[in-house]
Amino acid sequence: MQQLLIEKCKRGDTQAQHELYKQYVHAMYNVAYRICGNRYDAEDVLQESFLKAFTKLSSFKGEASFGSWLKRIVVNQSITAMRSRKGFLSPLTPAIESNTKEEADTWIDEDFPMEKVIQAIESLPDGARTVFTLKAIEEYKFSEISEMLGLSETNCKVQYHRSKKLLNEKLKVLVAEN
Amino acid sequence: MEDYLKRNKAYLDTQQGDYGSVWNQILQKKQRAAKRRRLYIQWAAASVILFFAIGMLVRHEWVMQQQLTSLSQINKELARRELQYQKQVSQKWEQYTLIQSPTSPMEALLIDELKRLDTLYQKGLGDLKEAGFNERAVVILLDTYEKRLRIIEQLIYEKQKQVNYESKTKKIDI
Repeated sequence: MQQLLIEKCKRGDTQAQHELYKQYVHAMYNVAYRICGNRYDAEDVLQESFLKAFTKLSSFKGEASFGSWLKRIVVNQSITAMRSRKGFLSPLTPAIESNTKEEADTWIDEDFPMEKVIQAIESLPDGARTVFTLKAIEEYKFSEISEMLGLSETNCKVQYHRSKKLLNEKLKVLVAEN
Repeated sequence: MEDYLKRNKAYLDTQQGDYGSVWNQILQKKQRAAKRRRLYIQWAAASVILFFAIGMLVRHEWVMQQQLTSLSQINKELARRELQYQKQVSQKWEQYTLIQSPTSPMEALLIDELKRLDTLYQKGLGDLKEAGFNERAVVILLDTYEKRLRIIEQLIYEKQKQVNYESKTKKIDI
C-alpha cells in the first residue's frame, strides 16, 4: 500500500505526496524539534526536508524503510540549521568538563512525568542536546553520528557522555523536587 | 537513561506544529519551482530555435557569398523560374536560327542588345554575391530573361520580314 503511494509520489502526484506528508509529519516534526529546540526552526526544517524528499524520491530504492530514509533527511536538515547558530558543538563549560568523575545515571521512576524529562533534555545546550537526541532517542550509532556532525567518533562519544552528565544533574534536581 | 527513553519512546512526540501551514508553503515552493523549470525550458527552446535560425541565415549567406553563377543557386523557386525562362529563350532562339536569311543591320543591333543583357545579368549576379540576397535585384535579373524573349521575338519578326521581302522580290522578278 505504502509502496504504491511512494510510486505515485515519484510521479509527482500532489495528492499522494500530501498523504505521505500526513503520515509522517508529526513524527518528523518532533525529530526536528528535539534537535532544533524551537518551533520556528523545526517548521522550517520540516518544509525543506519534505521538499527535498519529494525531489530526491527517485533515489529511494527501499533498502531501508521510508520513515528511516526521511528521518535521515530531517536530521541532516536540522543539523544544517543548527550549524548557523553560534557555539553549536563548542565544548561544554570548563566547570562541567572539569568534573570527570563517572556517575551513575539518575534513577527515574516510571511514574515520573515524561514532560519533565523532555523539559530537561530541551534545556540542554544546543550541541549537547543534538548529540544526546541522536544517540539516546533516535538510536543512531556513534559512527553515523560522527558522519552527520563531521566530528570524530571519539569526539562524539565524549560529547554524548558529557551531555548525559549534564542531564543527570538536571534530572537529580527534578527528581528531588518530585 | 537509554532504557527509560526506549520504553517510553511513544510518549516523546509531544510537540505539535502548524502542519497545514507547512504543507501550504511546500506546495507554493513546488509551484514556484515548476514555474521556474517551465520558464527555463521555454528560454532554452527559444535559444535553440534562434541559434538554428541564425545558423541557417549565416549558412545561406555564406553559400551565397561562396558561389553564385546563376539565380537557380539561391533557392528552388528561383531555379524553377529561371529554368522556365531559359527553356523559352532557347526555344525562341532555335526558332530564330532556323529561319534562313542574311542578317540585317537591325538584327545585328538586336543581337548586340542580347549580349548587353548577358553582361547585365552577370554583373547583377556579382552584385548579389557581394551585397547579399536582395529581392529587387532578383526581380531585375529575372527581367533580363523577359527582355531577351522580347528581343528574340523582335529578331524573328525581322527575319520573317526579310524572308517575306525576298520572296516578294523574287515573284516580281519572275
